Amino acid sequence: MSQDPRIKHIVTVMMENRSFDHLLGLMKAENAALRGISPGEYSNDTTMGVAVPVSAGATSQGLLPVDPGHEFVDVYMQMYGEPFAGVTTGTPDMSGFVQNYEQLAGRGKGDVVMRCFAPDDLPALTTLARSYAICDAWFSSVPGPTLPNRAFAHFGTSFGRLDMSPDYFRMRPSIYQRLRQSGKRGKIYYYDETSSTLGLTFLLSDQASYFGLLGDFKKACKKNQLPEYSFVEPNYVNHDGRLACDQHPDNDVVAGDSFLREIYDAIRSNDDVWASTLLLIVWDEHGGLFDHEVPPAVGHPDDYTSTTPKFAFDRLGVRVPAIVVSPYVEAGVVDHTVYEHASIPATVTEQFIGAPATNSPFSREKWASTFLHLLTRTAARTDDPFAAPMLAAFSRRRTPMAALRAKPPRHRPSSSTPASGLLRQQVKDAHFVLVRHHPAEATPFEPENVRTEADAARFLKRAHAILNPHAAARKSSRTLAAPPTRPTRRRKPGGAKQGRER
Amino acid sequence: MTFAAALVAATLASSTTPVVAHASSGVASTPKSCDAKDAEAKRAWAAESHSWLASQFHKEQRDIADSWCRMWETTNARDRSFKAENFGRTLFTGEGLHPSVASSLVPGSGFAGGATLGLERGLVSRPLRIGLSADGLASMNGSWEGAAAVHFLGTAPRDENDHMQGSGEFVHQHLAELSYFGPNNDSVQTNQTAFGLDKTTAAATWIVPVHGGLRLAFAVGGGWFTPREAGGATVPQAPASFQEATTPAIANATTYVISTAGVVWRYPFDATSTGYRTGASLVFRDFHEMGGQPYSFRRLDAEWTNVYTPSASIGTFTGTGYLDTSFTSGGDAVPYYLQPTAGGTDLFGRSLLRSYHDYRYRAPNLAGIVIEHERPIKYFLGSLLFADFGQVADEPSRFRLNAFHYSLGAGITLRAGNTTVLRIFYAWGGGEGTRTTVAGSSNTFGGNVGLGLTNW
Repeated sequence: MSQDPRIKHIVTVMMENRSFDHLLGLMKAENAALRGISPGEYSNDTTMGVAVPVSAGATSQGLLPVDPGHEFVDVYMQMYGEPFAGVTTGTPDMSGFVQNYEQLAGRGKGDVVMRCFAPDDLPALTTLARSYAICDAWFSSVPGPTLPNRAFAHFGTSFGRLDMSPDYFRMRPSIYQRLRQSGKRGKIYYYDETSSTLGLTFLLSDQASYFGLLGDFKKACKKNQLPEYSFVEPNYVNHDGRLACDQHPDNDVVAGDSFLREIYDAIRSNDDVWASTLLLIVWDEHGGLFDHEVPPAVGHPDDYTSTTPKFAFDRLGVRVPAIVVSPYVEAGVVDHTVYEHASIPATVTEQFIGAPATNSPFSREKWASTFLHLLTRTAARTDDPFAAPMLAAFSRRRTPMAALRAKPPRHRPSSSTPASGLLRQQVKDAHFVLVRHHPAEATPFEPENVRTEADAARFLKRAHAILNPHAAARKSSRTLAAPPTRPTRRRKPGGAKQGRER
Repeated sequence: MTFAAALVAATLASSTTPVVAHASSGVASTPKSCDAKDAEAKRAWAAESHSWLASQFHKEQRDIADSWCRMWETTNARDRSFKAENFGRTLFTGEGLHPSVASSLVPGSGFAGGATLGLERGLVSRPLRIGLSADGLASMNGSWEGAAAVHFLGTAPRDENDHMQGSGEFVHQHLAELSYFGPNNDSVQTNQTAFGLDKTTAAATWIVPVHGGLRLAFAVGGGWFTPREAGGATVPQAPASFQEATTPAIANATTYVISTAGVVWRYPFDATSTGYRTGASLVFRDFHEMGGQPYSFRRLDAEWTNVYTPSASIGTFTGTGYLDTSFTSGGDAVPYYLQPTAGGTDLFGRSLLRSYHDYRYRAPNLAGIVIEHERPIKYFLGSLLFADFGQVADEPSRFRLNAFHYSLGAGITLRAGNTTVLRIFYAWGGGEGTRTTVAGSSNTFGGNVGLGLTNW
């Protein structure tokens, strides 16, 4: 995949410390293609050998009063089910989350890391996930804490670091410096001066060109002055009446959900910006919360290794949520491509500098998957996923969950009402994509004959069935009890250490 | 030894033992790796049930021990430097009990150290977060402070990320030596005297967001103020040089019920680093003396800050105006130790007339203007220029345009993230000597813009 000339801006929002299953896993109930979970499908044992099933019931705050472990040795135990003994061996089975949390919070306290959010509890996140593309195989780059994972997002490597020292003074070149060398702009927008930025130690020169605050980001969106690449940081600390919105345990998760909506709205505030922007929403690491997907080994390890703890950067960290938002992304896409945080600078490089294989300085980034291939639509989408009548009736952050769950009244297309200009444009767009990607099947379609709402509805339904067969099939079989797609490590009654992949 | 120091000592003792000697055989075993020590400690903790608080402290202790161990385990010097930083971060930051250091407890008190506690929990059943903070600090001139506070932060969804805040605070300060040069704007530097002050305040505060950065604030509480002799002072004691007629409550302790209401506003709501920003606050306080002494008064404090950054290369211009006015009736007066001060930095961190001695001018009313210009120079360095103008008066009607004292200053700043994090400046003017100061960022918009609800 090469660069997409329609994309002039890439925006990354990186949140903190939540796993894929924890935030998005339960969406599997509405989209069987998603590598998510069903309540009870997986379990982890407590220290006493009692199985704790994965379940709904995560709460916005108060769930994790002791911060779950996410240092390398903690994540190792979560993944392998046993303490790190100086060397990584075998294959992870994701069986040690509960026990690891008990090691920090005490016996009997580990069940909370198996709790997941019901989709409707996070209206902004799940609306975006439903309306754009979910990447369900995005793994943190390092089975470890925040800073080395964020380093992969900024540099494409952590330089062999697994520690949480903020000293990245001498590390370069970051993607921001590389963009600058290519005559482009890359900028970190952080929340405010009190929250500060996790990037302040490696961009000391020309700081004004590399840093802005949240208000600057919103202003740049409104005035269509976004740089080519923007990295947006949430508020990391509760201060001055402002809630931390990074979703780090035990910060308020709903505040983070509102923040995501805020960023999306900022991009939508200018049609030109919306039509030329690719937004990635991703979490830096899983934060010690359960995820069932086994992080894969890395085919092309990093250029650096860590000596203490000994680690060759040859396996990815735990899976995190990731959503790609763009007017050129189809609704409801589930992308199974394996990504990691080096995919971020790789994609930015691919779009604005050149092929990562030749232009990225570090091995992991050279080989990382990029996500430009998700831009499959020819015409830009103009629909607003938050604009459903019931949603619009409420201010976005005052929307009660029950109202969000309510379905908007259905508009039935009429055979007597002429199709609107917008509807006819959608028909033309769909036909254009059909001709381009499915020329043989496009022949019977005659967009010029679409005159009424009912004509347009029939046309779009048939086109959609060809363009997105998985979604169409899913819709038609929604009432059937679909068999689980991933039967391994399913919970058995009283089972201890279920289904180890040894 | 403070609890924090004990915690650190225990931590270090438990993690630096290089060799485990087996008494029975006398054979020394290989030292345990940090991984093994960490795993062993964690396994033991998982064997029993613990309260949240116990787990929080245990986690902190383990993190300190583990980061210390790993700092010495590595053999690579560069890796050790990273791990040393990691140890420092673990030791001094985060939730729990930490050692604490400060350049001073209050201006002029000298280097201070102690311990600080910070804990926070979000409630599951209510949209509320509750925090507990406490600190104990002592400084080189014999001053010390003990403080504890419970903080509340609302988490109910709102249109803007601006939420209800409340607190219950208790602070006791033993201030060993503060300077007093006499009343009003024409006091003389050579008349410098000293006094000590014991301050105890207890307050409940409530801040309600309205919209678009506008907030209403309320506080009610009590204050107990006892002036004392300054221990070890090299200048005369204040009561020896000044009398009640010019210096109210020169030797009198006072007890107050203090009611506060205020309004604060900032624009724009979201922080920006370019363009125009402004913030203003207006706080009214009623100090009702409970002992029947003639020291009841009311104060109205106003502050207005304007910040303009035309471009990064031109830099940032900041202008701040202060106006503190006191009102009395029936022959009452404002105790001298509760009067606002200009000169250096005041008790609550406000800098005005920075070339002057701390607390140089003291009176019931104060007017001040601070103008600053900061701009990046190169790499992480920036420049700073400033001019301070300030005067005090016994009556608001006695402010005069030609009565402002002034300080000029220039310095360099250290910048990170396009923000000033440290300032080193030289200040002069006013004919009372010069001062060189190292100070943290004067970030006006990070906190409640000049609100100072409990600046008593």
